[in-house]
Amino acid sequence: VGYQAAQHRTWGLIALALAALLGGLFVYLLDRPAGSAYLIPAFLQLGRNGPGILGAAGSWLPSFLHVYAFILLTLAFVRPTRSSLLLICMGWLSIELVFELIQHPAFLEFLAGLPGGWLARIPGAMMLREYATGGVFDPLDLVALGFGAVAAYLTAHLAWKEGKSS
Amino acid sequence: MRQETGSWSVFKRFTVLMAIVAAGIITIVGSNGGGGGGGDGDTGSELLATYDISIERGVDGSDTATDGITVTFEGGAASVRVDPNPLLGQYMCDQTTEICELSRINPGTFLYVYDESTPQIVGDLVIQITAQVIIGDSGGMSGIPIIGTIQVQSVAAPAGLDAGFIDVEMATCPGGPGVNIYDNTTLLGCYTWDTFEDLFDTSAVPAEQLASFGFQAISFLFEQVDNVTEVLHLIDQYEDDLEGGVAITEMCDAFSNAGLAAPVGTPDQGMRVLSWIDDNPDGQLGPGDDFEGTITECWVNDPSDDIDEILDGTGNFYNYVENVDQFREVITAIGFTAVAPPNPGGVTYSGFTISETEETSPGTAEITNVIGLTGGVSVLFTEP
Repeated sequence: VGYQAAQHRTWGLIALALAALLGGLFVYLLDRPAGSAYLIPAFLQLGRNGPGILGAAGSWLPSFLHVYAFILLTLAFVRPTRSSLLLICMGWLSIELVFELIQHPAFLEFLAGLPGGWLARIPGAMMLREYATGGVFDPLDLVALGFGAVAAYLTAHLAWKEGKSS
Repeated sequence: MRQETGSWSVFKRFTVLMAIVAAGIITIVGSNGGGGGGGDGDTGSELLATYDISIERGVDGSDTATDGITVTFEGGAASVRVDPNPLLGQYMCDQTTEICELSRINPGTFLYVYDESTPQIVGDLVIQITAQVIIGDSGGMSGIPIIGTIQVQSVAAPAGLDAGFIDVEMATCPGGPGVNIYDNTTLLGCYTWDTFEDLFDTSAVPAEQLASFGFQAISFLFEQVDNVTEVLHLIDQYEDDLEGGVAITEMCDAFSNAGLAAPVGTPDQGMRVLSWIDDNPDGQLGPGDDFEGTITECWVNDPSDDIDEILDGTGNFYNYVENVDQFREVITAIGFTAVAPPNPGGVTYSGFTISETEETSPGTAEITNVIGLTGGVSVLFTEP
């Protein structure tokens, strides 16, 4: 029964994670202008410039869904204790926050202050720099990431609680 | 519970976790493509957020041998050419302002400067982007190269000026952002942008002068692209007027508005006129058409710069390209490109002069330097 409950929980978490990722993908397909994501061919993006169909939510929703999805996906493949559950949530939140914060103008200023040519010699660093300069720092994304991590924590907590009670 | 964990070895579990983390990071980075594009008004099509830029030789059917832009200045002349390979880079378009700005110059691309002075002043140069040049903001300055390296190589230079390979590396100098100059890998010094730009006109060592000159050649070429983006913006903004046969007329900055008396022989306020030529005759403004920009003693006042410019002459913009993806309603390619001879293409200048003005005495502007432009290049923005 315990094994079945665990399997049930695992697939439940994976399903929720995939649903969240799909939700994020739809935001990019329907609400964002063509060429706004490297991973999505521009011709698939139907959104026009200016306010999208989701309004302001279109800007922060992908951040919420992304951290939520990847926390659940990670939890689906590990058997977390109460402390490691928190650790996984904090870990993903940290990763997402770092990628958001490197889009902040202050970080770009810092990058600009590095000795010229130095960054260009580090493999992958230029791609990261392009990510940083190509994106727009949005404080709302930080809030969305926090809520996404909390939502994932609560979802997992409920899943394990339900698993135990069944 | 034992069965749940027992089915996974530690290695497999670790691998899966790493794959999930990698997927997470890839999707974070991949979800960013530089933001949205700006609208472009009348055409109903919008700009993408990012465009690749290609600056190529402009084919002048009458004389391909002198293709490029020739700059004449006091005591000499130099031609800037990109033949045979294009100079490549990327522009980012702001979603709100619809202004597109250079964001990088690709590595591995070349530019040639031919010293056509008699006798030669600096000799012929080959300029190569050796590490991708990123344009950004630094030290309170915006739109400056902040990372990257260019190499200036002397080719058949006059005696005493053959400096071999000179590397210009973007750097942060003690006084602010600038460049390190290396002469055959020996560091000559770190110069802030203002100092670096002035090196060519000073008694600096030849390698430093060439470095400054070489960089100015690249800047010059991208200034031509800025002129093109300005014209493209006007075309978009006034498409209906142009199609109706109305030329777009804009008054330039007036010296009197800046509290200055115009230089002797120069009107207080000049003008520029852009007209449409239906070279692909269908009565509609579209691909294959030409534009003519007639600029009459047009003073361009840059309040942030002591030196301003009076533009005068004719710029022709041949073979307009505008590819629109009708489904997405986005512009996938735009610019002015060369086509096979004998049809001219690209942006060309004839009898065009740029006169630099300075406030030499309080309230009076004087022309301090005049350069002439002839020839042209092809400029095309395309979807990455």
